[in-house]
Amino acid sequence: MVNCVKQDIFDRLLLTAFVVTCAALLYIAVASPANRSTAVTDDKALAREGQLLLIKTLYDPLEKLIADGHYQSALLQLEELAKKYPGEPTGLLLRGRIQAARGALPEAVAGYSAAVRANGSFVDARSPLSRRDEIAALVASASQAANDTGSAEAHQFRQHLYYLKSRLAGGCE
Amino acid sequence: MNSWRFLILLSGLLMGLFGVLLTVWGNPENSGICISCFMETSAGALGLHPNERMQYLRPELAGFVLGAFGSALLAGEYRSRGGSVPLFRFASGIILIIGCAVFIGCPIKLFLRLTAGDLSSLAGVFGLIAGVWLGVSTHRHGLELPTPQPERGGSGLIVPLMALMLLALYLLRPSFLRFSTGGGGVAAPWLLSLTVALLIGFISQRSRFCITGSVRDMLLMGIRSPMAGGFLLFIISGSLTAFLTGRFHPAFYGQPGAHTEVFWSFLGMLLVGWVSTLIGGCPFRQLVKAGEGDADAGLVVIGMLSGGAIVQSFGIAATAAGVPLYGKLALLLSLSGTILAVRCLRRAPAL
Repeated sequence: MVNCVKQDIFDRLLLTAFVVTCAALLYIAVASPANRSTAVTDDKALAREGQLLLIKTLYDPLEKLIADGHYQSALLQLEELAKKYPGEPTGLLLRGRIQAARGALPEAVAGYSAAVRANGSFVDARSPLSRRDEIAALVASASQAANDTGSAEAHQFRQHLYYLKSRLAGGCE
Repeated sequence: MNSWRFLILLSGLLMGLFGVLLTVWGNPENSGICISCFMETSAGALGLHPNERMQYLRPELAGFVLGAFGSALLAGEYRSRGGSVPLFRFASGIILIIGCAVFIGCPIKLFLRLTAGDLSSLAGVFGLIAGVWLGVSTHRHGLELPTPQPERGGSGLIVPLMALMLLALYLLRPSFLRFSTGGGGVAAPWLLSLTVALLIGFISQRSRFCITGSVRDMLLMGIRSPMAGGFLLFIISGSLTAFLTGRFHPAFYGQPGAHTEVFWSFLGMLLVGWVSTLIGGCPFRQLVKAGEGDADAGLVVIGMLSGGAIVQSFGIAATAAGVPLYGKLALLLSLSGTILAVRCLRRAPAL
């Protein structure tokens, strides 16, 4: 433990200064909440809200097109959006959804895998962007279709599938 | 059975039990207790890296340190000490996290993954055993780090005070702290996590329980070594709890927070086992030693926190998609750095 020696005047001064500093710290931290800046969190919350709004504005009409079965029109619009926002995860996910609807499971799984790699929120149950159930359903149907052939395509398909399974299972990233 | 052996068994039992229960209560799957994950998320919460899915100031870290601190004080074992190759230890902290990040998990999580049926973690088990064996061989060939010397002043208090400060920050939640809502940032209720960590930190300080220490003792003394009992109980209680809570899913693919690049998993854990043996304990043991006044272990802890920031900022950390290029490079660089350091330390003249 700290060696105990006889206290001199300097020790007492240090102790007093320590108590005063701690008191000031406590006062500023606790008693003056108005001084606490929330700029960082406000900015982040605003950015998140803005992103959600943009995604909704951009992709809601596309989701409707896909739901109505107009896959070709949806794909064309996705191409246009991809030029403006390359690599945007929601676009990748919707492309995967169209491919799944058309029965192209390997391409669909690759699309969903790319989307989840770009934005992990798709597998979070509590995220406003969550597509967890949709991804779980795809993984379940794709697991039955996955075969053990040694081709490079089959290997890629399994890799994407295992990745999605692992992300659905949770854990650290 | 003497009380020390009992405490070792208790440490193993609690670690296995709560390691799984914390995931039931909300921690990420297979990461009920994972020092490297906790370091990475805590570094993220402090704004030290930009990965928005790995940001959460873990109360468990503070709990382990403060539990050990309280235990050491009560038992009269608190000793402020340090001065044994401090920079090597700081670098070791960073290297430990690099090895863990490539594998995805510290030695505790390695076995928690195994008890949950993650067969891809077996490569890590073999790597850890090989690393510990390498550490024992290194000791045998003449490398013994100097024993930390008693220090005047309170440098041993710095890490417990930091733990207290981090806990206060967690509770006050100032605006600069960052918290993820998903990914590695999901968490059990904080009071539960803190209580469990305080208890495990307290008991482990008394028992000296350590994963790599247990493996080392088993390599040296066989299954009858006292640590072996605690280690086996850790595996048994973890497996049973995982089974009873429906978390036992034996498979190689699709496991939570895991990849299947077995060579890199092996190498990552080899590095962790080797470095842990050289510096006298796994990442968890370093936290406990820092709590009992060991400033050198404190430097390892600060190195681990820095490592947490580095692996996420530089894209070193592996994900379910595999080990990134920078992860492989960082691991090989760490391995070569360790080899060089061992060579230099072996040849250093005794003071």
